[in-house]
Amino acid sequence: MRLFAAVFAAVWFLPVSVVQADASQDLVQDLVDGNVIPAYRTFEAKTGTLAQAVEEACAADSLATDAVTAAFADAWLAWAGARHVVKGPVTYFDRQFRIEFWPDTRNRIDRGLIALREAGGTPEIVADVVAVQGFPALERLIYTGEGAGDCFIARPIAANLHNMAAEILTEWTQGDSAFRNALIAPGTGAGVYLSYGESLAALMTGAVSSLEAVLRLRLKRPLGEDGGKVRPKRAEAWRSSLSMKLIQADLAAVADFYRGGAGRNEEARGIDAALRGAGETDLADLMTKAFRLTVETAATIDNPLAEAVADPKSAAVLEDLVVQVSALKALLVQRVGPALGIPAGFNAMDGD
Amino acid sequence: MDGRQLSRRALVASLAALPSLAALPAVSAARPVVVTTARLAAGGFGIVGLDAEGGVAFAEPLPDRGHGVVRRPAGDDVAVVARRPGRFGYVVGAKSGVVRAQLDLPDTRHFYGHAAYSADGRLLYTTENAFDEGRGVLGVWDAAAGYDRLGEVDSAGIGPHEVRRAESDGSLWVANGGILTHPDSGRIKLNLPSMEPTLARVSPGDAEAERVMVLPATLHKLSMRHVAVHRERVAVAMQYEGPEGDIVPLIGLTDRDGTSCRLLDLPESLAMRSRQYTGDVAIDPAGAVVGAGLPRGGFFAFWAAEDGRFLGSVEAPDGCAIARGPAVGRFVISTGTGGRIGRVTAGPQGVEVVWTSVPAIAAFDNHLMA
Repeated sequence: MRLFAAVFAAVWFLPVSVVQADASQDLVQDLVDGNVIPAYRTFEAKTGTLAQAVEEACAADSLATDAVTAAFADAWLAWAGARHVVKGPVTYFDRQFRIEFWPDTRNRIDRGLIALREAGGTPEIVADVVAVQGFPALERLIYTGEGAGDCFIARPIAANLHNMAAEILTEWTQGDSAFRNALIAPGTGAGVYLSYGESLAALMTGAVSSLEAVLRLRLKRPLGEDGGKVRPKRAEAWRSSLSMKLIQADLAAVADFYRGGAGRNEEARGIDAALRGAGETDLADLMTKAFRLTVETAATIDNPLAEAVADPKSAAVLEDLVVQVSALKALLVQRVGPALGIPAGFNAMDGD
Repeated sequence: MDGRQLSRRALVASLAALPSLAALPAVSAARPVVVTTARLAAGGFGIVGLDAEGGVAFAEPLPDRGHGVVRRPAGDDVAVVARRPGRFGYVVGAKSGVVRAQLDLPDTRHFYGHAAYSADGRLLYTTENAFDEGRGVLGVWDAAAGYDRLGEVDSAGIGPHEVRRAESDGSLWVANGGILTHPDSGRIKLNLPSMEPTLARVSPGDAEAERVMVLPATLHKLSMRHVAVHRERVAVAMQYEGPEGDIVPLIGLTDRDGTSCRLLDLPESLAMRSRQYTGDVAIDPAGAVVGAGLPRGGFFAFWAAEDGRFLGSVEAPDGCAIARGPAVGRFVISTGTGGRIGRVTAGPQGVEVVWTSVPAIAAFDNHLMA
């Protein structure tokens, strides 16, 4: 913790470089081909396994089999590996909310599931309601549901998760209108971005908002503000005890994004390479260290988040994690963005 | 001293986070013609008055980033409230910037960023989030008696952002953005799949708002955020929460009888640049031209009110704030990046702008009052 605070303090004393790195095609391509598309490939594969496991369990008049719970965890973690991407196909047809409707501050999922059970629902009915289409609804069925009696809801949810994952992957990669093209060839065709700067900003927005969600929704809400009451059931995925693993997967995904998918021992790619290429070696070293420390801190919590927030020792580590994720986010916005030529608009931020 | 009637000295003493007074810009003696919130070049946030030459007539520190400013019809009070989800609200002198009163907000509310006075100046209305109930309200304050809180009016929608008074009949127009947020989760949006923006009106003397316009289901992700009113005509500025590739209208303008709404289009190249986001809207004094600030696109756009045709645009990096100017086709605008004030003339012959730099200001905020 102290070490990290010192690292964070150092950022303010680094000289701001005069020469800015180009938001080049190489960089955008590293991020898209090295991180985003592989993440969606994994998500497609893992949801495929999940759909098949649910089919097989239900065919055997069961639901919460070992195969299903394992495939469920893998699929949700694969989603956490991709939810730092907030632009493009995942936004079509409300997919991001249909995959995971959370936080559910108005209890729509439970109410939706009750209504479905009462109506003896069909897949068509499931398709109508955003809240009951994704992981949190399926989690209730697997961990706190009525077993095989819920298969008539669980099967279409699992199949639809796989469908959405497959559609997202297709729309990123296939044909002239592939979203990949909009990012790596901005200013051409029917793309929504006009320059590499805009493409890069669109990708960076997702990384920043993922860290923001980890901070605000996944950590601070269950931890309680300023020593307030701890609320373990505000943790994401507390029923399946996946909360902490999902946070670890989120952080790993943003770290992987930063490195453009390059492994730890591989040559630098992505933002890391772009900063080094622009002479921002100190900033790149600092980012590498900050990512490593944050990922390590998250890894030290091996009990589920809902238990960790109530345990003073783990809660102290979680408070450290809050500080570290805040620092990472601040570094990305205030130092990395400007170094890559992404202006931090004062009025262009959302919703005012 | 009444607890609410804080003197400037007492206020400053109570706000440890404020920049020291020595850090504030030197002030000119001239009368302010523009009042706006801003980030000061010397650090910190404030409400500032600018004279006709762009000189700083006053600069009063604020504890954090402010948002909307509005002048009281009787007298020269100016009310300023915090950017959401902030909780401070002050009333300052329009010429001096000196704090005259503080809005004492209940713990269960935060401000959304805008306020409006009743036509007689007796009441001040502020848009607020009743966050534990997940509904929007207008707080009602007694401007005639030290700005005590009198009560509140349901805004007939979630997320009321801007409220403006119609000069013609004194009714209040409220843009309910439709987006649910809670201070526990900062500015994160909690209900995008089910959001339902509405335009609502509070008739003079009424204790409730009525919904006047609800967008069709296909456009339910167009968050109505800002309003401008000229006689019976209301302009609504919107922000789209759907996929980036969708081309959607961003400004709605009601017809004179208020029964139907025309959607104003941008040329395709500007529509693409807009990132589907408007931050402010105004109608000129004649009701002939509608102008809007599009900070993500980095430009202001202007349309003829009569037939909705596009008149032209002004390039302005991070430009957002726009207010009606002194004459037909005239507007005053500002920029975030670079801290500039622009005087715009817009009409059938095109759009022109004259810029003035204000070095004491690091960034002008989303709204201004001219």
